[in-house]
Amino acid sequence: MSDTPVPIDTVEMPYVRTLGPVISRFFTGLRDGEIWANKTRTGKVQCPPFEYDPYTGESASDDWVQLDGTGTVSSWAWVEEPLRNHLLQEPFAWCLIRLDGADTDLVHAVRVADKGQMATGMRVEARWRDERIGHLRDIECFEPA
Amino acid sequence: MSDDVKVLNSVVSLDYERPPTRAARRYTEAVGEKRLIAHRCPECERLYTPPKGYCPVCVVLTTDEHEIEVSPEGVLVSYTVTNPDKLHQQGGKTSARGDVMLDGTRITLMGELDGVEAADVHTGMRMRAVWVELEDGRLPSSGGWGAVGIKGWEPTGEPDASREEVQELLKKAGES
Amino acid sequence: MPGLLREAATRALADAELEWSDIDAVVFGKAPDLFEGVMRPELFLNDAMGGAGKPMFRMHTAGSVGAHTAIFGAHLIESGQYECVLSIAFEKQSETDTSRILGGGSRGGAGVAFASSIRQYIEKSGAPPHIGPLVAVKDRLNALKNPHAQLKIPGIDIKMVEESEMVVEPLRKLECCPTSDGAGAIIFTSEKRIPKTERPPAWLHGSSTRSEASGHPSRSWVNPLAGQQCAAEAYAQAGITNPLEELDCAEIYVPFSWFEPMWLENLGFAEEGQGWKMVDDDITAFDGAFPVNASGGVLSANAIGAAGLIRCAEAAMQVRGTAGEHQVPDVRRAMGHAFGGASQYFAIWIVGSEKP
Ligand SMILES: [Zn+2]
Repeated sequence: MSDTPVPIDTVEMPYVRTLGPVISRFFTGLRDGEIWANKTRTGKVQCPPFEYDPYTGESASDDWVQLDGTGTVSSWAWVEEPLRNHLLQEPFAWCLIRLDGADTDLVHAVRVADKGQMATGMRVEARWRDERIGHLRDIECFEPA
Repeated sequence: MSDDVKVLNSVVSLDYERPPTRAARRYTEAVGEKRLIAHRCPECERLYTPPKGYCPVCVVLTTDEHEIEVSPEGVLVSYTVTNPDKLHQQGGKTSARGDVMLDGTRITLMGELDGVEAADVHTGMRMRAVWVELEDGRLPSSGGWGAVGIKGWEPTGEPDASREEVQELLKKAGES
Repeated sequence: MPGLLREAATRALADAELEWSDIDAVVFGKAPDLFEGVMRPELFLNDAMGGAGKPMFRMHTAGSVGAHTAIFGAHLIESGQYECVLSIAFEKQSETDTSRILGGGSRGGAGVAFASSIRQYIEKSGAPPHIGPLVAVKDRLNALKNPHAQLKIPGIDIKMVEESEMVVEPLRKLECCPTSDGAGAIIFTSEKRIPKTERPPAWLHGSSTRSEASGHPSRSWVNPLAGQQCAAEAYAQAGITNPLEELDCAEIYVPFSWFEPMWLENLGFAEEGQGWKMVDDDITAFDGAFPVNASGGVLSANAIGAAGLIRCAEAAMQVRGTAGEHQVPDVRRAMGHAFGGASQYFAIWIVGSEKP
């Protein structure tokens, strides 16, 4: 084996994604500091919203509901060493968050002072950025409520 | 509504570790000495540069014992002049790229053509490799198609191969 | 992305008068994931394609993947494993600078890779320079008849093509395909599950796929062996000995004008070096003896991953008699074709109006 360090190549591409009407509505809400969810035809509340019901492939309904930024951690994974493009640059938890009023989970980061504070079932609330652009990062992270 | 958020800007950025193979290390060392090495398949005798460490046609491994040096000079058998700014891309300048068939081989390598005006490029020109400089013993990223370690090709100034000779080379290259 | 796919799928379901729940399995295809920057997008798109709880297969053979996606869907029926399969393919190229991906970083687009082999074809066959522009005009005239064609250039003529800017010699701008977003979907059923619609089905008479290594000496980009073998197998399955006589039209993958004469030879419609004469004699024109790309072809819309599936679908529409304004009269058998990568993947199918 040689001692030569392994070369690193960085592959990077910029993307501009067109959102379509359903996701556009969700992201427009985030920019305005609001969280919106849509309903499937069977009445299930989806947040984040989808154009369809993932279980059947049927199109979703046009019925929308606004949610508060509060919810419960369904599950979590601790990140001790964040990567350069993670949401937070300090240790944090990737979480599945069931927002109050929703039937599905949202993936986001939860900031706590140390790992010992993390628990499934803990209550969290969204911490909004002051400058919002219409992006999931308009919620900086969730924090214990 | 007109002020709805309709697009999402994102950058996908990933770091890859690429440990070089033995064949790639020897190739890099040779480039540093302005030499071009290849592997000759022990079964079909096809030449590969840079060496792959195997022949994909015969599915056999090749190693140092199959390494030979090949000429970094050859004949321009085809080319194109690209004007990327005329299409829908931003930026990019007019440049010529061509396929050079290395002397004594059936290998064609693609690369930028240097030292000749785009308008003067023609098939049959005799070309030689313009080598890249190693950075800390490493090959810089090639940033596109083309032979690794070879920045491009420049005319040797020798007399052209004739049209018939070029067709003969292409025919030979096409024989399986 | 989900919206684009679902638009194609819901139209196919409506045409077949079927529901999402009728689908037994889903075959999904697209070209390199780098185009959209979502690695293995089938993971998140599966449920958008109605695939939850069903078998789902991802195909990937670069630009030819759409045709592979169609053929693999047919295989699932032919094998007797499933009764009703959705094959669906897409590409959304507007999201990033695809010329950088296709140009190998050189910003020239795929034309940089193919222009050299086109020059080889021209120099070897002695084809006159107006052949490429002729193909470009023919396909764009056909596109005017196709509501799904992206690039519509009313009044296009050879002068307009010849005066367009030289992009990648010898290709002028109007001899190149556009950058496209698009999707296509095909539904396959077993004989006993043929939907009872007024529109007849297309029958699969033969299909084949082939590949070869991208880089080894002695490989021809002008007349690739894998393309010849692929065509030969498809013809053998369909019982075809003289393709030009026995097929009525073809949808072949022509992203740059000169690929039409090259592939006419590769697919056995012309002798080697003679394909350009078919173009010159208007044989491949819409009202010619053997119309090629009556839809406007890839030159009029090239959503890469979807383009091969759309070639297959267009061939099927021709034999079903459902092609609308670009319907070629009396089509009994038609070819759908695609190639991908460094001219190294090939997929062909032959469909007919009658059960083989
Ligand atoms: Zn070999």
